[in-house]
Amino acid sequence: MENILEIKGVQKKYNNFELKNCNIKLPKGMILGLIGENGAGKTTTIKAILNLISIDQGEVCLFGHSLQENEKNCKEEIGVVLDDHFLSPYLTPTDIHKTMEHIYKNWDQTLYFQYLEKFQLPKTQPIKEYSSGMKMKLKIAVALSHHPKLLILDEPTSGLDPIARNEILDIFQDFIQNEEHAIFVSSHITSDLEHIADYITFIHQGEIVFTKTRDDLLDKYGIVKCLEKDFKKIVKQDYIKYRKNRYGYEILIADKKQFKKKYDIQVIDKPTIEEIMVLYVKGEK
Amino acid sequence: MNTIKGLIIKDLLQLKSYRKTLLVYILIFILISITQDSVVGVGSMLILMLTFGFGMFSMASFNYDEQASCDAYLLTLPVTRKEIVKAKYLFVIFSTLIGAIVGMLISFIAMFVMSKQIPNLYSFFEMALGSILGIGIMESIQIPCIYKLGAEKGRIQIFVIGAFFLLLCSGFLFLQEKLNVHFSWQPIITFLHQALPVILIIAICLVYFISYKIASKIYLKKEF
Amino acid sequence: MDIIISNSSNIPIYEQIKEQIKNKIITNELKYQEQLPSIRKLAKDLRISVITTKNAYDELEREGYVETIPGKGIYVSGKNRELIREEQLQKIEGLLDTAVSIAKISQVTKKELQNILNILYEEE
Repeated sequence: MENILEIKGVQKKYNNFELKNCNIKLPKGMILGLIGENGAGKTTTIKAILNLISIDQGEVCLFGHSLQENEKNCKEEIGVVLDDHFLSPYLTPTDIHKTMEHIYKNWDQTLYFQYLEKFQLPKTQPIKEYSSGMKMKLKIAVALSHHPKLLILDEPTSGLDPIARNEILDIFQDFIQNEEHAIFVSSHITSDLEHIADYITFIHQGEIVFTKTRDDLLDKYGIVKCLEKDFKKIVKQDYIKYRKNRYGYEILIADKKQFKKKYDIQVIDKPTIEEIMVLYVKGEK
Repeated sequence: MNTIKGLIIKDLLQLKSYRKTLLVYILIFILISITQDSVVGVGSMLILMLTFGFGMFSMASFNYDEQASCDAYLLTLPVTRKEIVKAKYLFVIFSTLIGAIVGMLISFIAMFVMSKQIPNLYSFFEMALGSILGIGIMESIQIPCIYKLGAEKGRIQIFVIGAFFLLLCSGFLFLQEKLNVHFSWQPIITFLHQALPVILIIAICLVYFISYKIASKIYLKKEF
Repeated sequence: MDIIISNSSNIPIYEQIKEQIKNKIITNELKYQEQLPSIRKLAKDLRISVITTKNAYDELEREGYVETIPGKGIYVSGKNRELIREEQLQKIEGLLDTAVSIAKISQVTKKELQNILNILYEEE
């Protein structure tokens, strides 16, 4: 089993939105970051993986088996953090433990309470009195405390201050030290993904625009900055999108080396994932 | 099954703050009953009200779940949709039963204290079964509605249905008066009285079972 | 192992790692048969993707600087010390060639050039 998660040709139609032909592969030992604007389909994709919604076409495979056949067992091995769904805020972390120990076969009480200590989460305080950062850390603690192999995370660092985000990213990196593990994470905070993701999948208006390794994106992609006269010389196939601003043009290209060989334009910047996203979405062809 | 146990524990724990309300509710009715004269009436009322109270206590878990958007999260855990529905029904049914039992106990004690006699247990038992059936019908209609329309809308539906039944009954009685048809209830009542407990128990089981089946169907297809 | 990578540099990160490890091997900071950290450990310590570290190690292996022993790890390879020396000598020759060309054009004599070489070595 090379791929811990495979989404094959998944389609889902809603009234005002459609997820079209979604294909994603996540190999063992890797972190895949799903990026896209609000409403692009990130959460829909995650819901499809977890069978929270039915899909019109396609298949989801987890650990080499179709999700439909083996749902309960698959979910033993998955740790999930969702953005706005969790348990009742009237529960305390200790209550959650009392619930989870009957639900997960591999629930590890010691580990759970260790995480609570580490994150400084008071055990007997109901969640409704928690700050949003604390709630997120609690969700992550619960997700990790049953020794899952795959983490599926929807915006796991939203609401966290930079220090807490760093802490959490460290924990994810620890998790991935085991080659049998993998992480599927959707996030707005592209700078976090720049740090830890191995693969980046960009989804826009329900369609996957690209899946690339982070290296390809950051090392091969480039943003050309030039004036109109130079822009006119560039052939359409050689760039992806461009934007015109007051001072000139910003052009997204996929291969810096080739471009440099072909055109005599010197200013080619290394892009951030955020800049790539914005140019894809807001740029023109 | 362990998962079902876990889900019921979760429901019990999340209703922590409601427990106090329930206790107060019980105490109020005990106080009311002490101030009453008619002993038998008091007993029946206590049983009905307590069954109702415990039943509603368990039904509140649906509201708590919806408030937290808990269902979507539960489905990411290794629990099947069937288990979620089963756990809810077990929780509601047990709560309602316990309500009836507690009602019977308190009535028994109250009557014993008030009239210094050992009261007729059998009528209490029938009352308990009747209460369970009545509250059970309410719950059985509510749960599938809640699954279909959500906790807020589901509760509104129940009032609509309740009102409808009330209208139906009054309509029937009204017709009976108007048409001067005096339907003789007596033989039916005598017959029923002998087999009452059995009939009630069968009715209770049937009502909950049908509701469970409908609710399962709805929940299995539900999207989050 | 101290490796410093610059996120803002235009040089791809895997190349930066490769060059730095290469240098350490050439300067003997990393000794023959010394074990290198696993691709995962390195990725974690440098806070980068394992694909990056894997790329770096793959290229180092291809160029003969390191070798993977299955089941054990990645070690500094000894077998190509000669080749490494040759590569370095070629580099030196190339640079000296440039110096010589400039010298000839600017009419700097061979003796003056040798003097400069001596001074530079002494500056060590």
